[in-house]
Amino acid sequence: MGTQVPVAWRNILAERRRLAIAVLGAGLAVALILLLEGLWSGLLTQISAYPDHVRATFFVRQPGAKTLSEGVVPVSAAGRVRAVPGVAAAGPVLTRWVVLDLHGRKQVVTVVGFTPGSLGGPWALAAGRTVGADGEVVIDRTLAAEHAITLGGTLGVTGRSFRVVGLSSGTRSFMGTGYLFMSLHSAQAMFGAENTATFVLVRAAGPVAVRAAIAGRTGLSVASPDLVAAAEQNLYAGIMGKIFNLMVVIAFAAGTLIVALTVYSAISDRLGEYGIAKALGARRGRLFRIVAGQTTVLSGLALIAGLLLYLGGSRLITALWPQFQIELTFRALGVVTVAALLMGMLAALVPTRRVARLDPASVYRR
Amino acid sequence: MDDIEVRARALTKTFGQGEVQVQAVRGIDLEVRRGEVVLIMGASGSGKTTLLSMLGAMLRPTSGRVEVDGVDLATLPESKLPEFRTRRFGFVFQDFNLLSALSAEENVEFALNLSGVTGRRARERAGRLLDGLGLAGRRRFRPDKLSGGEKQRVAIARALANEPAVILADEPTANLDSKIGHEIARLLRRIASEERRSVVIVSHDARLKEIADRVLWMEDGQFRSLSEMAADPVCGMAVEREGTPHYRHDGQTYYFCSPACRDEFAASPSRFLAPAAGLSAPG
Amino acid sequence: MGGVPVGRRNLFSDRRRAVLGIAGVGVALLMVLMLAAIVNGAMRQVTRYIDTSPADVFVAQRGVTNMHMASSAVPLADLTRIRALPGVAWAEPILYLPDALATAGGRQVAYVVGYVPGQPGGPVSLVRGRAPGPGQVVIDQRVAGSLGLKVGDSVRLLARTWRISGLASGLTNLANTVAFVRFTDLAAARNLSGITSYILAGARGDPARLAHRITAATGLSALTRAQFSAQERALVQDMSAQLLQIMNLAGYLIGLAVIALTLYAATLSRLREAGVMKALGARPVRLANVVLSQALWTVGAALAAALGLTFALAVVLGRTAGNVPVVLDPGSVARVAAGAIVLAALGALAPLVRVWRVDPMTVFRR
Repeated sequence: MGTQVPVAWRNILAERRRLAIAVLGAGLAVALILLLEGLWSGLLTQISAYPDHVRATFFVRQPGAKTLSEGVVPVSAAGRVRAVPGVAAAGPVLTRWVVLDLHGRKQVVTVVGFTPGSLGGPWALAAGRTVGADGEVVIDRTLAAEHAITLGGTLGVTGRSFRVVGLSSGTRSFMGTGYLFMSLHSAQAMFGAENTATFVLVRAAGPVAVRAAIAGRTGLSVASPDLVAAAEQNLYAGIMGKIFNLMVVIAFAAGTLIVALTVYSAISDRLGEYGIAKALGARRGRLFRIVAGQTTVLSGLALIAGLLLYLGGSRLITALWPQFQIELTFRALGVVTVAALLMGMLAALVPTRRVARLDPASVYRR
Repeated sequence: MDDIEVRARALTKTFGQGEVQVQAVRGIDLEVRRGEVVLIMGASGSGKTTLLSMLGAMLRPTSGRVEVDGVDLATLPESKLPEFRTRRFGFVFQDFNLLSALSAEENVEFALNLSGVTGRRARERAGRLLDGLGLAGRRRFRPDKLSGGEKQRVAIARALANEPAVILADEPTANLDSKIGHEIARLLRRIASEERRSVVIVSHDARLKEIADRVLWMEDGQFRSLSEMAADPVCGMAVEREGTPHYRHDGQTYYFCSPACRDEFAASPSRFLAPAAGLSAPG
Repeated sequence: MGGVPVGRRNLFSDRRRAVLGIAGVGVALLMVLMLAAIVNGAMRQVTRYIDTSPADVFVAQRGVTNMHMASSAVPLADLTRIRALPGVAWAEPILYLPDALATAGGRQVAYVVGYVPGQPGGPVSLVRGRAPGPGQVVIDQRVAGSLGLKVGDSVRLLARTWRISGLASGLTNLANTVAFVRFTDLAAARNLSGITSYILAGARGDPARLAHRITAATGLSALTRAQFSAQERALVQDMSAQLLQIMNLAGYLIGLAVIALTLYAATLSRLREAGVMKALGARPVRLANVVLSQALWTVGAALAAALGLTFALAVVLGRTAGNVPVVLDPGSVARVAAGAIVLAALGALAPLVRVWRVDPMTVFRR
């Protein structure tokens, strides 16, 4: 194998500009796969932000409810829950989807109506304070920045005017959703849902025993925040998963074709050398290895380029659109490395065929 | 209206500047008549190709004039040169230079397209040209499927496509074997004589002397007087009489391009002594 | 033109290379087309209920202009007021709430429509069974299929059990489905009284004027069916806009890289022939044609291939994934075609300059 690698390097590096374009193109494909994986991780994180961050031990809700906005419980249930020994605090929360119209663009938010001072409000504030009374809202800071909404300013929600008292962070997803916090009363009035809530948040010590007690006393289902988070993620995984996978496959195909095309061109330009190799007795396996050497080199370069492009690109994206969360996981790196290797192998197929069918004598016929 | 197709006066081409300046062509005068075959011979680097390029409106001279068909090339703007080339010249190259993705017919057609002939007219004319050169059955073949001689004939057909006044050939027989080379040479002769075109050939190949009306030797950018030169009996090259390897045989001094040729001659002189070898062109 | 198509001949002279290049660009365009088709398909699905409704005007809570991912609450008293307005042929209420269909076989997020039996607002046509009676529900046949349900089976919804009375079609999309129950059933299940979500109205005369009249009389949001549908489409669009932009950009950049590679290799390996053409008297325009025609043929073939693949994928996804509606609209195709042409032009730029600069003297090179 010793003499073959230099051949591979030499061939590929011969045409600098072509190499550059190929590495860029295939690198883009690799970067795209990384980006997709990163977006996916980020999406899952963003989607389950509420159950992940709201400091509660349990979500108490209507039996059968799975995701955050499912189900109905009477507000009075909160009182019954509070009465259960071991329960430190309980607060009813009403969640509903609402479409905001901001500068002619539609923005879906989950309105979170909670009791000021009790559980369920924003967990991280970038500015201002949390909701203290009816008529006040806390909105995500990136959303506010995008639409020039300021602290102290007003926000119209389904025809009602609210005063913005706080800007929260980590409360938005790039799939076009986010959380908007207001008082429970405001939400109930807005939705015509007097005396109802979606779930009751509970803080308790000694989880296991309390859980059974709550369920027993109220007849409602008691879920850990992890369960709720998982349900939110499953919902979106179902929706977006297929699409993301499809895009990853397409990006992979693009990268493979770019590598194949480049190596094919490199080989075509030097068909003579391969003719000699064949005339000297190189068999198909050997030829494949020579070709695969080149495609592997190219894929390797593409992998590096892809990583760099990804790092630059993801930074650019989050700078331009702060609601995008892109996480680089080991899994993603693993996926992309395997992808690059596979690209190298697959891309070698067509060029190898070209060489295999080469009649050594014909190359020198003028 | 005189008979002279190509007229060059004091043609000079200098490349580079200052210390690295090279005069590839120095003050060349040349006249080529209609129906005449002029053979320009000389070593590599003698400036033959540069001269041919200037004659063929591919290179602007540093000084001097080129007139083709009565038109002074210097009066033509850069943008008009391509069209002039298409209509006035036919080029034949050493490497054939056919477009590899096109068939023989399409290669000829392409030249016709350049002068505005397209579609069926172009195809028919291309077909006739190829037929006339004995390539009737090879029309549809791409260059990689043609032999060297066939390719050169296609190139000649292409060169003739637009009825040029002048054929410029750069080493047309260099990549062909002896028999085919002869055929091509005779073909060029026929084109000149029967079709009354001027043919200027630049070549090393001494065989072409047989078909040339005039033979000119070029060295260091200038034509050398023929009488100063001798022919190496072994390889046919024109050599100077001064400072070159020589050998006396049978009372005559023979001059050679290299010690190798001289030694070969010395080993068996009768092999190389053919009757009536000379430099002067056939009358 | 009538001339020899040198560009096309050059492109296809090496068939394998041509295919690789076309496939590469095709894959990039495929990504853009698929995304457009998925978004378009989603838009169609989301607006299906509205587009097939007999209502001329949709009335919602003030400030609400959507059904999907929105909440609307309208007092039933307004229904009476609307019925009394001139130009109203009829007016019926519908309740519209998100919940989930659940069986042992799975779960599907669903919008539940509660309508008055016999009145507009329910399923427009049933493929099987009958409209829902008390305690009964009509679900979409696709969701029935994926949950393994048929007419007569039971399904959990809104924390109750319902019997399936019939199946509708075309109401299931990527995210959710629509289920129909009786108005009173839904109101009871959610403990709602005196409230509806939306009011559908038929117009005697111009629907737009009726909409204005309703707003003037009640202060509610009133839109014609066309306007309402447009609002729903805008929602899908706005939600996916930024992600789409990023993906499209990546796709086009990859396509550009492939075109540049293809043309670069093709022109570089034929630089000498460009010199020959120049020597023979080809003018810059003719040379440009050679390069540009290669570019256009490549993207043209790539676009055709991408379109074909999109249609094929649409069929495949329709059979397997079910809920990913993939529908290409002429507007998207036109946009991608225009993008492809821009790609061709950009990719041809550098090779073009190279070809223009070729020194015809190269024809004498040994």
